[in-house]
Amino acid sequence: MSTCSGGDPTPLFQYFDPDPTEPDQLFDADGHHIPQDPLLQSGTFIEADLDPTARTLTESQPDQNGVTETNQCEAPEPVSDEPELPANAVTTAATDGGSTPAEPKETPQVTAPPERPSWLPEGWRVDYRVRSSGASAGTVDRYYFEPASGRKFRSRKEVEYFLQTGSKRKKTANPDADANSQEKSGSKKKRSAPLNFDFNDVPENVRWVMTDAVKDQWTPFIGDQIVPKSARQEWNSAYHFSCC
Amino acid sequence: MNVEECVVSEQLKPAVLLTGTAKDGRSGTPIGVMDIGESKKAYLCRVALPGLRNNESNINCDIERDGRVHIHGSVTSGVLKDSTTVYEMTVQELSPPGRFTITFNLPGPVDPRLASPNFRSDGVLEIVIFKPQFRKSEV
Repeated sequence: MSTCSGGDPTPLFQYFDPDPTEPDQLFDADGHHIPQDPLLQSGTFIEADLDPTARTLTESQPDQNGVTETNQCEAPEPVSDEPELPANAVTTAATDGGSTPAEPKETPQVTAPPERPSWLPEGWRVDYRVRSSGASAGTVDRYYFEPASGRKFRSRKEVEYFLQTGSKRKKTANPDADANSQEKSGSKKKRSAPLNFDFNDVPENVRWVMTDAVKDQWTPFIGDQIVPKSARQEWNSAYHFSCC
Repeated sequence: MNVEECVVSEQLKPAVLLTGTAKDGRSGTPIGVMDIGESKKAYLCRVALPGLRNNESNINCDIERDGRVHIHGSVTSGVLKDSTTVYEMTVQELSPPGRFTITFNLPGPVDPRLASPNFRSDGVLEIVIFKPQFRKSEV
């Protein structure tokens, strides 16, 4: 089902009559005759998904919270990491299914609904979700869904990175973790020595305590003090550096 | 087993100090039976710790710079899991429940930061400890 927007000529009431031979009269579960609605013709239905309130929300920017405040309670959307949409999520799907999604197309969509970003390739789906709680409640988040895999992207930057490289950008982690992952994956070239590990400054005594028996996890202490995590990571990378 | 082999294994026996419950069970598979190995960069030691349930034994090991290692823990196997019945032991070769310490020396100095203890599910504690690696460039 295609959705429409304010500027779209699609009527609010759609006429739908797939089988004209069907009787026009309606019956409820007990077989009682239901009188026809005086306003709606038989075979006509109101599109339930159409929510003009939410539609106006899609146009709003996060910094215009004050303006859209009144609308938020009418379209509360939980912000979740699940790619599945809530039933009433505002979805803008590209109507042309024939395009090959793998090929990035940067040509702006003339036929696309107005709120659809022009830089977004054909076939991609956009979700607008209003944060329902927290300090940033009311902020509208846009999510972009890649048509082939359904993968979710949170920003234009992420989408463009994906279009250029074909892979999702790795999560930006803290520098320590980053260094660690380099240590792990750097099997091709020689590992670089851990920067902050002083091989010459050997402590007198280290106590290794088994802190998690199930995972066989050991935590070092110097004296009675637990060794801080950053130092432990240095030790760990120095250990693996020493192994090769 | 011939005599020659016995001599060799005697030479390989480290000086091990056992205290606590580890000292009492010496005729079965006692706590504190160990292997010590050496590579160019590191030492490997394996210590048998039978009767230690790894989730309640509070194992820790103190590693000193000069290569001395102390392993502390407690034996819990004297008590049957989920049983209130009391058994009087007629044969007692395993170490009885209680705390223990195993102390031994590695053949040379180590860097106690570069150690990776690993308590295997078969009851053997395996530790790789690197020798000190002094680097002039980083002074």
